[in-house]
Amino acid sequence: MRYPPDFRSPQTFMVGLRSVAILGVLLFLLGLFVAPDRAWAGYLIGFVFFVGLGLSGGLFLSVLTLAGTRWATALRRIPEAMTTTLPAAALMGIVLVPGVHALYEWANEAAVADNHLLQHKAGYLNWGFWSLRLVVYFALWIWATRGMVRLSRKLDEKDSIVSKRQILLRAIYFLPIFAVTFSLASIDWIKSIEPAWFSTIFGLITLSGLATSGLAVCILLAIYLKRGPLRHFITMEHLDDLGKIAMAFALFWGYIWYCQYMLIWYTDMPEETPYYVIRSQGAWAHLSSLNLALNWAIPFFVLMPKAMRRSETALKRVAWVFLAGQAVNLYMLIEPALMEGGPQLGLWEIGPLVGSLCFFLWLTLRALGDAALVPIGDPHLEESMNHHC
Amino acid sequence: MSPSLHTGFFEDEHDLLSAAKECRERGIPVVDVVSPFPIHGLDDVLGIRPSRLAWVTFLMGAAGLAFGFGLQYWTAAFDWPLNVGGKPLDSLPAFIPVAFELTILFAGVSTVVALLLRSKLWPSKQVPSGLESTTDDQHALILAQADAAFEDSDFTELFERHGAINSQRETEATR
Amino acid sequence: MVDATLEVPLITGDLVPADVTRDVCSPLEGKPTGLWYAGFCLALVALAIGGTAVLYQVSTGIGTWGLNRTVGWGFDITNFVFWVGIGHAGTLISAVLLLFRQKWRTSINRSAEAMTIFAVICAGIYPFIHMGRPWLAHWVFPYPNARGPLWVNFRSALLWDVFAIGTYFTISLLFWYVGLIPDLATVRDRAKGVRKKIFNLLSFGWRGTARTWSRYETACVLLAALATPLVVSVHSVVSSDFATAVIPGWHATVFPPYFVIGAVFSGFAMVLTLMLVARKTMRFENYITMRHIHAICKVVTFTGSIVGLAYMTEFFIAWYSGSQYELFIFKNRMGGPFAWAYWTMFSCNVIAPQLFWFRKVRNNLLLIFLLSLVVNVGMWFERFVIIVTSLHRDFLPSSWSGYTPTLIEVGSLVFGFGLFFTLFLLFCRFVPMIAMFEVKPLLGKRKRELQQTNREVA
Repeated sequence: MRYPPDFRSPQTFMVGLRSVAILGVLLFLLGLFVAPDRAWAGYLIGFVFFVGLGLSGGLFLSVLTLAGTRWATALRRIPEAMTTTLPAAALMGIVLVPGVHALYEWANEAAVADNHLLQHKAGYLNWGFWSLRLVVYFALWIWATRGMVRLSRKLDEKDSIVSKRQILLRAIYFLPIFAVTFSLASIDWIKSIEPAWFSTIFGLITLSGLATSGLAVCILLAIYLKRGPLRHFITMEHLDDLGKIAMAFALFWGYIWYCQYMLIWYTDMPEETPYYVIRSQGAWAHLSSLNLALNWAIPFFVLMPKAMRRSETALKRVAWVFLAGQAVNLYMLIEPALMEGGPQLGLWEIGPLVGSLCFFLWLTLRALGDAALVPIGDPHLEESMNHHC
Repeated sequence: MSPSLHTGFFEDEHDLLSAAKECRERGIPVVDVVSPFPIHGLDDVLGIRPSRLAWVTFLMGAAGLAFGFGLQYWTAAFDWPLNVGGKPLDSLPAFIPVAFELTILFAGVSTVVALLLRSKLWPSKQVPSGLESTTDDQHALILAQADAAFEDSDFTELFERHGAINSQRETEATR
Repeated sequence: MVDATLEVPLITGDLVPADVTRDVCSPLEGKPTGLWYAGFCLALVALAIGGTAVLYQVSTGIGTWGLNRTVGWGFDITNFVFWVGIGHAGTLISAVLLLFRQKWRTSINRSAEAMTIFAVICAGIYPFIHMGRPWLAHWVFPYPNARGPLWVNFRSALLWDVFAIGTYFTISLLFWYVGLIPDLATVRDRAKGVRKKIFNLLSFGWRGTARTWSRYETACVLLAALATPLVVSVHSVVSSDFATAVIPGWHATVFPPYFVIGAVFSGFAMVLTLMLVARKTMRFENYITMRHIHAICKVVTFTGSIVGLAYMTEFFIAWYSGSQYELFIFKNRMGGPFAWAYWTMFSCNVIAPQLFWFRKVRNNLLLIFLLSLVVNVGMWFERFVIIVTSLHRDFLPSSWSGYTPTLIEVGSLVFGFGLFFTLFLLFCRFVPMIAMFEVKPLLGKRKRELQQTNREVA
């Protein structure tokens, strides 16, 4: 077995990422004084984006392990590194707590006093319980992902014995925790911005965005490493498979989006329809179309020919499309209720978003250097390297 | 040039694969390989290009999609516009399911038809006798004699060296 | 290092390809076992009893059912959704697992696909007889007619069903038959006389040349890639029969994916039931091994848990919505006159599959068999609960009513099972039940795997 070289990203690149991240923080802080409402909403987008990427790593690890997927073993360290960003995400979450009053109508006592719906929901939607849940979510996520990463790294050591059962158990713990907490977190952080509106599919709406954006980062990092230290480990076949998964995720995204839209459009009930009334008027309508194009149509049709899935450039571009798509998706989930008079885009939105993305990449690249770049102790590594579609 | 054909029967597909590789390197024409299941890697050795069936699937799928939307808009909005439940004539969200199903229907049916046509398969088509074991557990490598210097015994030797369990010579085409 | 416990082999008994041909073809070439005859007679009896009920209903009218003005859908649509759902596991095993390269599908995909086709036939019966005047069934198709031409209403979810189920049946049948051709050729080459003529007709002159195999594999992958979104769309469309209505308990945006996962859940349970019976009666213990059974058990537990999550999501959102109608319907489900159905559904679907976490349960074939039946019962009740409890107490309390199925309705349920098992048992007898050409390459793989493991251990 060939060992991959030690990994360190180029110093200038890392400094660049860090600078942009810091710039994002500064812009957010400045925004708090200049335009606090927009700054908080922008921050929420960046925060949810960041958390989703970290969690997607855990989801991919868990599913790959449980499905017994061997071809992806050589790529395993990428989602592992992505999960190590969750403690930082928890800190970002705590920063969000003082912003609750700026973002959520239910946190405004005067609004609750003359709205019976908000009173009905007050037992769940209140500042204290909301913050407590946020802490609990992160505690569970960090605990569950750490278990998987630690065990995988332990395998690298020469004489360690890890039983298959332990590996499976760690992967099993993650799934139900993730399924329940992530559904609730999507309600807490996003859905409750429009507290009268409800939709049972909402957890899957946010999940589909998490999956596409997380996969996009995996693809970008896989290509980055393939061009560098992992050129003997990551093959065209891996990229082809990642491309196929990207198509599947794009289709899933479109499917879930259509399910919610079609059913609400079809029944046209006063409790539900206002959600799409805002989103189909004026400039919001164009953004809705852009959302569909970026997350579903472009990735799906571009990757259809095999040649595109086997082209690093094409895959990289599709990954960026997915990331842009997730930005638009979150903007469309969060902003329409908060921005009266049409969509606005300025430093207060771009700053926290780009900043948190750079922060995420910086943390992930650093974490990649903490362990061998491929799981050298995994018995399926060789099979993964010789994987053939 | 003699049109004689030489067939080697193998039990392990990897033996056949190595024999076919040697044939390619030495320029012995491989007429065909007949096997009970697809042999991984054989396409590269025999130089079989990837099938273009996907084009049929894609184009017919697109046709199905166009037909699906065309049919629905024409019947529901033009030929006899009906207001049902206050839905607009242009009910795009409601037209997507049927259009989708017709896409899949057209694409799937034409893929199968194209497969059968391209492979020249039809009900009751007669198959030549002599290769019955290849639908059971044997893989047949059929070679043609292109070089008179390469004699029958050379073929037998080649087959045996790669682990064939049996070989035979025919003068009429087995196709 | 991961501890070097050897994995359970996929195919046991150290078989060679010739053994596969012999074992799989033997039910076709020999006389069936007594167990087969017993099962077949039982299925025929059910078919006859159910058929009588269905004939009576068609000739008399749907007034023979227990439906009323408030509860307009009962056993009929419950059975319809139940059978469509059963079919989904077959497509999932053959298509999705093909795309995911899960080798354990190969021993069971043929029979699972057959199950799909038969289940879709059974499903189609119910809307057909529910029409009341089934001889006018062709009116559901958009063809130029003398009534205007009056076209079908493409904005109705019920019409989407026609296209979804029609496409699903066609594609499943094609996929299944294309998969059968190489194996029919194997049977042809072993047969003599009239049998040879018949199988020559059916096998399309298949020889298995390299070029044909190459094209054939491409076609299978393409069909799988089409069947995968298709299967998702079919149950999504079925779910929209309910979700496009404004009735609380029916209108939920999560219905499409929730129905799909429920369908996979019930379908895999049915696969488990059938495979356990088949391996015993057809002596396929070496092909349908514990590893297959464990894999299916895992899928059942996984999908069952998602179904449980969906139940809880629905309930939570009913509270969260603050809508009194939403909340009422769920309270009525859990504590109303049909509470027994709700709790049967809940315990069968959410609690029972969790028993598969225990190794002792997973290794006890009888328990697995019973649990698979329990899940089937639970999923039937899920559809019953969704349909009947949402309808029987609607917005207007003066129109509230109950629902009691008549014997004729129970007969139509029996008819479905009779038809399904008759078809399935005929399939076991006359078609190679295991995809020989897909199992054979695994045998060599097994050999090579062993060699590799030996090298690793050394």
